[in-house]
Amino acid sequence: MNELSPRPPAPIPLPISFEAFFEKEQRTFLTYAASRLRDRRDAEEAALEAGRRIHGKWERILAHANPTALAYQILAGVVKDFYRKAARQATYEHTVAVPPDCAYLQELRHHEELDLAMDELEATAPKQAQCVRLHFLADLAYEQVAERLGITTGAAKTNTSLGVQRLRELMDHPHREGDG
Amino acid sequence: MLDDILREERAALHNEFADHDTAAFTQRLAERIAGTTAPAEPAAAGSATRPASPRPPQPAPPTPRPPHRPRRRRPTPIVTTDPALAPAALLAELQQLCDMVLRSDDVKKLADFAADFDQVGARTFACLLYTFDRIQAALYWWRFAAGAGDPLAAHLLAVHHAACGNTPQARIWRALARLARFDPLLHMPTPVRDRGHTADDFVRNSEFHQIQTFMRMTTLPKELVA
Repeated sequence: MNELSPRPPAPIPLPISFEAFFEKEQRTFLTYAASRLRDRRDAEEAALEAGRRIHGKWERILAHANPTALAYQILAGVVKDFYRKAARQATYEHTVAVPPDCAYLQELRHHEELDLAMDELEATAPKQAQCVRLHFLADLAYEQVAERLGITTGAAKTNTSLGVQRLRELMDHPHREGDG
Repeated sequence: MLDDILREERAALHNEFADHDTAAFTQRLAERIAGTTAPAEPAAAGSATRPASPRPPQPAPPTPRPPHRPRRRRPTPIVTTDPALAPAALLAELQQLCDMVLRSDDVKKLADFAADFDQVGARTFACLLYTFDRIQAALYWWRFAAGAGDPLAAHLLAVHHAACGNTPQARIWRALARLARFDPLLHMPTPVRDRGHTADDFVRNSEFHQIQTFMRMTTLPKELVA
């Protein structure tokens, strides 16, 4: 869509294997993204961007030893870079999305304690953070977590347990800097 | 306690996407891909065809090499993050934004800031502090300006925290910038001079000694730390 052609472009046919994969993983993609981005529209945007990149490299991903894990790496990268991309776009582009209201800000406040602890865990032990997100928030079994992160089931259980333990420590003894 | 929080979070996320339409979302993805896929260049209609020219003489084929292990070309790795969004790139962009502010007419507001803490003056002063690596002080005055309603100050905070990877802070300041209706066409200042020395000179010659103190401090006094 652009200023010369306001209608969205006609969708292209997707490879059957890619379409089946994307339909199967969509909800987990969205739940993972929403657990970090805290906004449904942002989560959908991140999932679409990840889907676009995965589609672009689908043949190479299928040839990988663990295509699912590689796809989730791409999703994690998109989510991690989301606010940087948003910051760059906001500087140059006029956003037309509906601005947030005070209810959204109050909801962010409600999640702040867990978000700060998860952010700290993401920085210091990203695998543990991902295991906690996929097992507790996306409600996946350990075997499914292991497949999506390219680790063994035992490692998924260990990382999840260590992640929860660390989260408990961070939330019981928060370390806050006055940096904004 | 943590178990309860995680359980509530899981339920909230499940409810958030309870009405999610898988087929429609896949359709959106197909439209997105179609929108970003460059079509193949079609042959120009009506273009005159060049007359066939005689083929140049072909060089002699090279002497075949003795058989040996064939060279395997490694495929390029799949990059999962965008190099253009590296923290250093975004921090450099933030420095450029500060430079634009200091080269604009907003420097005239520094006097108003010294007199009664004008919000535009506060944001301009914070940009000066940022260029002098007084990060904590710069964040303090950007927060002050954003709290007073300056949309650009909220945006600058969102850029800084996004660059540093502070996800919760980046999220909240992005939301506040959008709540303040930040629009680059309206709120990005226009440089009117080549250098930002005017702001520096004002601060050095200002009779308001407290703002000079912020220029010298590398950390905020504990009374000002949240």
